[in-house]
Amino acid sequence: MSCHKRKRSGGGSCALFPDELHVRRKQANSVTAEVASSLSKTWLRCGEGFDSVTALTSFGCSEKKPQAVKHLVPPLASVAGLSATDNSIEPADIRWSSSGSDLSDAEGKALYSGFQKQNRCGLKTDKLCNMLREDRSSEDEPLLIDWDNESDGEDTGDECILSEKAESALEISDSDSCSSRTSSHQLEEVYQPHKATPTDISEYSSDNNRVDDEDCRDAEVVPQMCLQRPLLTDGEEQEQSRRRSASDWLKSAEALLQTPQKQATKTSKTPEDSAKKRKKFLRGGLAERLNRLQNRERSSIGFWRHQCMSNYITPSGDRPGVLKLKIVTLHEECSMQVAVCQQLESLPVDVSSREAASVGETKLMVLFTKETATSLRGAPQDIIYIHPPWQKLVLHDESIPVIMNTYFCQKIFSQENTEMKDRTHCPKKLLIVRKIPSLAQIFNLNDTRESSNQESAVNQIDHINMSIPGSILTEDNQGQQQLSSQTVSDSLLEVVETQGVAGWKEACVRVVVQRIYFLPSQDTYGNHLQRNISVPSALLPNARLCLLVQDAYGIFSELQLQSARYHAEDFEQCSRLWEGKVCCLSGMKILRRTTRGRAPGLFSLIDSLWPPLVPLKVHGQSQDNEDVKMTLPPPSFCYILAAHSDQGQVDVTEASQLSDLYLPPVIHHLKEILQVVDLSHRCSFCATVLYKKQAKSTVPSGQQELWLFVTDAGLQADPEHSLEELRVVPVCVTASCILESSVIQALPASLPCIMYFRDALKENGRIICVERTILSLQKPLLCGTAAVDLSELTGPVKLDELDSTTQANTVCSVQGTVIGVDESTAFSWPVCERCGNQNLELCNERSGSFYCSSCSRAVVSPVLRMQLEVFLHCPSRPRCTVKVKLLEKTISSLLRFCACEDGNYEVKSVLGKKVELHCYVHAVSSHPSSSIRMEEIGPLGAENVN
Amino acid sequence: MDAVLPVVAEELLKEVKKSYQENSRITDELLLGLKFVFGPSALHALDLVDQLSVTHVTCPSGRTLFQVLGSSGKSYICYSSCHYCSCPAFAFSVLRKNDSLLCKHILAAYLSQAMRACQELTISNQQMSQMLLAKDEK
Repeated sequence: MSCHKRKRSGGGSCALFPDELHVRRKQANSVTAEVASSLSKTWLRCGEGFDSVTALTSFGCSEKKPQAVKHLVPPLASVAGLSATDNSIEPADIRWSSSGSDLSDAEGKALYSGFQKQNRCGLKTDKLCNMLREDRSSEDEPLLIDWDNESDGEDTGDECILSEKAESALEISDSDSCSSRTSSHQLEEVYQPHKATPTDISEYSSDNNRVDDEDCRDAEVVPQMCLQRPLLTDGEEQEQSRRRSASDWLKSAEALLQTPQKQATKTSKTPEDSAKKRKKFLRGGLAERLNRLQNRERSSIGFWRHQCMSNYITPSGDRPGVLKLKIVTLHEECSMQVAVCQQLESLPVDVSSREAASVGETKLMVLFTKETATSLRGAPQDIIYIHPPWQKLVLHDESIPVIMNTYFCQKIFSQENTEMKDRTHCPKKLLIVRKIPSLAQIFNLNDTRESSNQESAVNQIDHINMSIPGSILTEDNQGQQQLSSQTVSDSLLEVVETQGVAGWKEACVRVVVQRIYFLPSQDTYGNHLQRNISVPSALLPNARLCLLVQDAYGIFSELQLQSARYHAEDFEQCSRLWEGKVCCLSGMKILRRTTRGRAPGLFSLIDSLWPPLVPLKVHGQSQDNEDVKMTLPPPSFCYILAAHSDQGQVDVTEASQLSDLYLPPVIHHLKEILQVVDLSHRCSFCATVLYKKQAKSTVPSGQQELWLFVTDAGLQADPEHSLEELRVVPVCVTASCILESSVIQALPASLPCIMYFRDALKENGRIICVERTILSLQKPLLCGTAAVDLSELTGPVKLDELDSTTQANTVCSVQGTVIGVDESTAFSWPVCERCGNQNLELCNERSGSFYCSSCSRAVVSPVLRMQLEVFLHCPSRPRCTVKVKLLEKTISSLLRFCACEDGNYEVKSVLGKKVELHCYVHAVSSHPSSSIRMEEIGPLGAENVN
Repeated sequence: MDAVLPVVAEELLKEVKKSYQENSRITDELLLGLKFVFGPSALHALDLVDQLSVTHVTCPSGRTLFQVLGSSGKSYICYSSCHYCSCPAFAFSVLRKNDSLLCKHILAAYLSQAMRACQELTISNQQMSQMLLAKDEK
């Protein structure tokens, strides 16, 4: 395994903690060690009078030892101004010095820039530096700028640059001051930067087993050291360190001498790494984003660590967002530590209250990175605080939530509890069980889980204000923030299962609106539902709009819209808005779940929409799988939904586009419907309504059936008219089928008319309009083109002739001779020509003038109304008594040539006349004698009969 | 108790998928979560996703695998029915040291699936066998 791999693996890790300072120092070692190696060489050569320039260049590169350089330069300068004059300085040598260190190019440059700044000391190293610089680039300033730009995209990140600059500034001021000082003072100062080095080195060498882990991080050494720098210069220890004696420094220098071997091996391992480090991520890519986030996070961790160090034990657990936990168990997985913790309610002040506090808390699973874990050194029974930001991940099968991104952890010791404190100071090796995850278990990303919880599945606890130094937790703390954005699910089932019947507060489900129709209102249904056809109402108070929706998994739901918000009169508008579109439903509640047996009408409609034309998603299967076949069983249940009081929303997502899942009604010929369509199946057609017959009210509630006699071009054009086929088909409109007012108005007034029947039910050979059937005068906006000629009928309408197969409740044409008159039903009476009032008062018997009480005036020319029922002899039914109630028009034409005497007509004058009538068959009876009772109906089609 | 980390990782990847499906983007929290759970591999895996380096290879027999073009230009094979990658990092840090749950290539394959960033490639059964039995070019 090459070192660069490990180096890379350490690239992202930066979570270091106050008590981890030694770790950091160890990391720093990787640089300081190499610096030390060159320094030690220099030290050796100092005695030799610096004959060789190579050594000089090498230490010149070490940024961390600026003072050392400064100090060592005077001896150098005394060596006959060698650097200034000696042209024999080989570029190769310089290259060696820069590549001899184990630093990446970027860092090399960083060091170099540090070196450059140091030049301002005005010492003789200037020339060397210039040469070094020339070796890389001919110009001075651009190089600096270039470095800034480059490191911007590097792992080291922004904070590095900042601190780097800060440090540079520091160096410069140091340099300036030191140049004005006496040489003895300089000598004293030289020791200062070495203060850390000896201890580092000794730790480094004594901790060789850790090198594998730690040396990976040398890529980040520069920023970390930069962050470290202010710490060192701030403290009082620095003053102490300044007073160290030269002998101390000599000792440390001796210690340095031991390290180069290590260095050498490392150098050989990382030749190509510097090139990799420079790799830039795709602009705007996710990696670039994460890199930026990571840098920000890293700098906050740096600050936190610093602050934590300065006030080491700060029981700050009462701040919002801080998790107070007691570790129950601890184990290791991969490089993570997993702690099962109990959440504590309050801060345990003393032992007794801790016991009280740890009763009945929620359990949490906390993950720690290796870095955090080593700094925390948690053990069961320890109490830890986790400061925000942390993340909470809710697992779908586990009841224990997982806490992640736990970079800001603190172990808490109460004053009395000193033995615990001791434990952290003596690094006792804790035996932690290590679990090795199985490789056989792959991750399934296709989640059939609810969508509702997903917004809470990952919960970020917001950042505390990290930029304010000196206070870890400020008043600006923000507590737990809930993501309030609604999440959209594709599955009705998921939402229903997770949200329960109570209602979906947040959840939103994406569905396709398959149909829009009316249903009678639940509360009024059966009580005072009446469809008063003669007085068309402007509003349909008893109807509510419903949507039949289907999700991507094929599950249907019927959404009953609030009648208060969606009037039935908005039907046209609503269907234009919603039908066939993908909509998001939110704020719904489930009224009930219904089944095939309980709602046959609903399921007949659903069946007509099954199977879908496009592949459905299947729960628990990959959606990429194209092989999902349409062999799915038809749905066996359907949810009835209603909108929550005022939160219910139906939002169209793509207004212009119809969903692939949408199945528009396919308009068929009536003939096809009569011959082909299965029983109890929905069908749509377009037909001419010839005649409307209001059925007698059979129930006292006033529910009325309506019969429409319809035909279409296909039925009319049938050349070989077979006996079993009707030319005119009766369509029953049940009371549950709610008609629009425009339809209601059209029905008596403008017959015959073209009408569109959507989703009518065929049952027992009859076509029935039931609930969810829509009758409209306009062609539906969206309907399948089944190559049906929807043109109006041309020419006279042909009816079925009266014959032996004629049944009651049909229409037929009758040809026959009048053989008799039912005198008991033959009347004529005058009515008011204005108001149609039939109860006119006879004013003057002789003049025959009438008075209309409702108009309060004399009726000058009253209209004579007549009623006559005749018996016909029909050639097609010779033995049958055919009784027809005639229309006035027919009566008057019959009586046209009869002598009239005071309104009385001779029966004989009518007998023997031939008539051809269109009739509605009221009743057909064969017992005791064959008889048919009919009623003449008006002109059918465009032309008049007779 | 079973290992927690795979469960967490799976859940996190699901969240990534969901987030991407619904908003066509991934939140910062998820990115940091990925980094927390998968360590440095996350950054490199995301880079591989950015570069569209993952190819989902299928053949008529039903065998599938992921071919991931590594940053070095070498392509590695990740199985789709268990966690395996032909890269040296997998051999070392996953198999040998058990330090990581996945290598960056497997993670990239998952992330590409989640973000629908997989290139699709169908090859013959024979070609698939050759891919699976490919020898290292050493």
